[in-house]
Amino acid sequence: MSHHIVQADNLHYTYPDGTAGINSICFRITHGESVALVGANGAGKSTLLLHLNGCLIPSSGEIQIGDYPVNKKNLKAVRRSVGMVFQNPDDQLFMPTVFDDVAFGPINLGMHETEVGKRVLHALETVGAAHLINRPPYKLSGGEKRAVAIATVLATSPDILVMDEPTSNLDPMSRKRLINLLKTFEHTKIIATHDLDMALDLCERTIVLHKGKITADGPTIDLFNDESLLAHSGLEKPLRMQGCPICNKQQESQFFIPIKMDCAAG
Amino acid sequence: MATIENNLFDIGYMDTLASGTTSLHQLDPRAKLITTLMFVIMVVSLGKYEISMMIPFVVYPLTMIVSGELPFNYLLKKIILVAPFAILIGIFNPLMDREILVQLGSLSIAGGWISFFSIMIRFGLTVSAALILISLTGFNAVCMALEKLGAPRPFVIQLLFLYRYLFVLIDETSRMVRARSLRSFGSGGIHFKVFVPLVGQLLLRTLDRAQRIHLAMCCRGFDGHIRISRSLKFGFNEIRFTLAWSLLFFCFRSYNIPLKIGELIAGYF
Amino acid sequence: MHMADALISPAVGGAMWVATAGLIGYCSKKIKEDIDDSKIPLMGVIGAFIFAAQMINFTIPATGSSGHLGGGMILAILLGPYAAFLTMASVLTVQALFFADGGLLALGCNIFNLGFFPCFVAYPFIYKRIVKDGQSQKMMMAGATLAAIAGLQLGAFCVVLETLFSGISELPFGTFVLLVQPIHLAIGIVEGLVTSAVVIFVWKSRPEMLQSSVSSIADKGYSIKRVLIGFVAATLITGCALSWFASAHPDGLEWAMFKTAGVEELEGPEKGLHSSLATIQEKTAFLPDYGFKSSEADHSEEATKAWPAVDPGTSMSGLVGGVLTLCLTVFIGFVIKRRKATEV
Repeated sequence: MSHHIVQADNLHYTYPDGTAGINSICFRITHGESVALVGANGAGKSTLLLHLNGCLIPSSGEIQIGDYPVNKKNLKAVRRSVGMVFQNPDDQLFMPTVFDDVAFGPINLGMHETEVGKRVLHALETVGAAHLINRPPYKLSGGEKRAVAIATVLATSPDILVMDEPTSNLDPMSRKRLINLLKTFEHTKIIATHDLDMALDLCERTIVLHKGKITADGPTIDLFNDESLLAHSGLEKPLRMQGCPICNKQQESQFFIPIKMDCAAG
Repeated sequence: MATIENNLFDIGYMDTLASGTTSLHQLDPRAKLITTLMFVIMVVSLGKYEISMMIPFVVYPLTMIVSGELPFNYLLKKIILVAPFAILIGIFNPLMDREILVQLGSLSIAGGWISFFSIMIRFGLTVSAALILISLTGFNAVCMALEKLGAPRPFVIQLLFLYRYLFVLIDETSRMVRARSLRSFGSGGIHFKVFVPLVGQLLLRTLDRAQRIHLAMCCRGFDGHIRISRSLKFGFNEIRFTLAWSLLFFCFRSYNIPLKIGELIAGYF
Repeated sequence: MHMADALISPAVGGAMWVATAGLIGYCSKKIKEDIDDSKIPLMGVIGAFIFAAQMINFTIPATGSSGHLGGGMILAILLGPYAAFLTMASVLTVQALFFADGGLLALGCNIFNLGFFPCFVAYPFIYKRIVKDGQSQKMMMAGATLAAIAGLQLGAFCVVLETLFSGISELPFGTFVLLVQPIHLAIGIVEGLVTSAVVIFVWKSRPEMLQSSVSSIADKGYSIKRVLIGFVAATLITGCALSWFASAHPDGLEWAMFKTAGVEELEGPEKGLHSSLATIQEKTAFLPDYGFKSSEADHSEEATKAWPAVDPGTSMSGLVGGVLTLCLTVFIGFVIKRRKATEV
């Protein structure tokens, strides 16, 4: 089935001021896959993500979402399929109340008022934010804003969820809640993140970016065990994989991680 | 800078007041907006030497504050805070207008002082009316009322967007100002030379933010039109509220009630 | 400088609101026609920026005083006149509602004073004429400074006129003007320099931001003359009409004329005009109260003025009645409070 397959063919993008963005990007993500996009700052993660729903048009190469190549003509169809959650929820919550923000997408798609109401409620219930429905966005906490931002995207029932650093600036509880929530989603998920522990939890596949190019694309656990790859790409192992300080050999990390690991397993 | 944070707190606090649950809060915002405007117009239409006729008008802000369970001291402080401007202009009245207008026994009061007090009273009344409106209604609701009453949509949308990002921008500004002050080691206020790049940076960040917001809007299907659905109901309660108060204001404006009361009492002696 | 409700008459407030509402409607129409829909979030956040930036006080070198950004010129340069006017209007509205800066009735005046002149007069006729295609920093500085000065001077003068025509304040025209214009000249110079410095700062990093607002005006066949003529006419007509029916007191103006021009006697046709105006006012105003002077008062400087109906008896009644009414209103307040407490 070609529906909701994300396919990138030799994608190149150069910024208007000449700096290279991404180049020679090729990948194919099938329906229902969860893919983490990792890399150092400036590797090109956000740039790549912005191509996925036509926010940026590649200098050369092609990207296809389901049956539609991403170009100016197909923007509406593409954006209906691909829901993008940005890094800063304040940029995404621009309406007077949470209800208005979540309703924004459905209303723009021309849905009827009752349908809009239903979708808003359902989306908010999914993220556990139904009680915030009449709140103005500035009164929300970081975690609440993040949840509502996801709801704004869910309301249009996209097939593919793209998220840019979803766990950044979240306190541990909110982070845990978010990860558990995302686990329940059956959408195709493409998540750019620095939070490698979350990538381990959520995504069975990982694409590593370094200086605009893909340096690795494969099962998450394999990539995260490849220390030279991680080092070369400006990354390090997720905290969980860095070994128990009590019985396992300690990694060359400068901080003492007081995690109680199951030493018998190690 | 303490004042920036205070302003942020102020706006947020008044918006919190607006989410109260008294019957006044439940009224359609149009009723409260119209009543406030009637109040202001009636007060302002009184002659410049009027004092006694203004006094009955106090019943409106007082009733609103009590029925709406609003913090009296807080509102009073806000009024006093902006009073200096009115005092500055008003003080010229006693200076210019020295004619004796009122004789109370041996006390002769110049017209200028009467008009000065009149200015201060009308100042207190009109300012309190505006603050009460916002405290009972909330800014977003006032904007929706404006739209339903015929204000052009682009202007209303602008108001809503401005309000939405006010908090974000004020927060960002206060952080930048605080960072600067922590590195200035008591060298006084913000110098012009520092102000320009500070504000310039803020502006650049604002422009970037605007682009990101626009991007987010486009990703959710924005086509140039912002559609907000709100069902407001102007029912019996609202009609009763607006008519009753407007009638009362009209009476206060037409008849010098304090004078009549005073004459009544004087008649007994 | 902001007008306050306390200093304004309904006629002046109403007239200025008509002008402002018309301008808001006109600008809204222009915004709708603008194909660039990224302006919508831009206007919102830039408005918030101006609001926040106004809270930062900076010290002005060599004077020891502090100033803050007004914003009218920056808005016009970044957004073009229509969007800038709406943005300025929105900022002033929030200030009026939350900080009681000005008032609800005076908001119309304030939006007009602080929005119309920078956006529709100073920006097109001064800034753009000087800066032209916007490549020279010196021109930007000169243009912004002169435009800011002009905008503020006109705005301040408008405040003087509005206060005068309202007749509540006794501030005579001459004194007011002498007070207000030089201050706003200084403010204008500072505002202009700050505006140009910030604009140049932005222009160095994001030149395309300035181009967009410049080009969108050129494309629209924009005619400032029509806007100006239309609104001045509307203001005059409504102002006169409203004044006729709901007029407060011609005295303020007369008094100002008296003091400024040194004309002692206003007799002859003026006297006739005034007394007929007074008669009409008596008939159309609600109860004639002790709120207005008779015409004779201006015609002599003797100690005894012909002051109608203000005898000690009335004054005392007024005082007693006033105090009682105040007590009554406070009492009503307490009753309501009690009832609310017992309700719960």
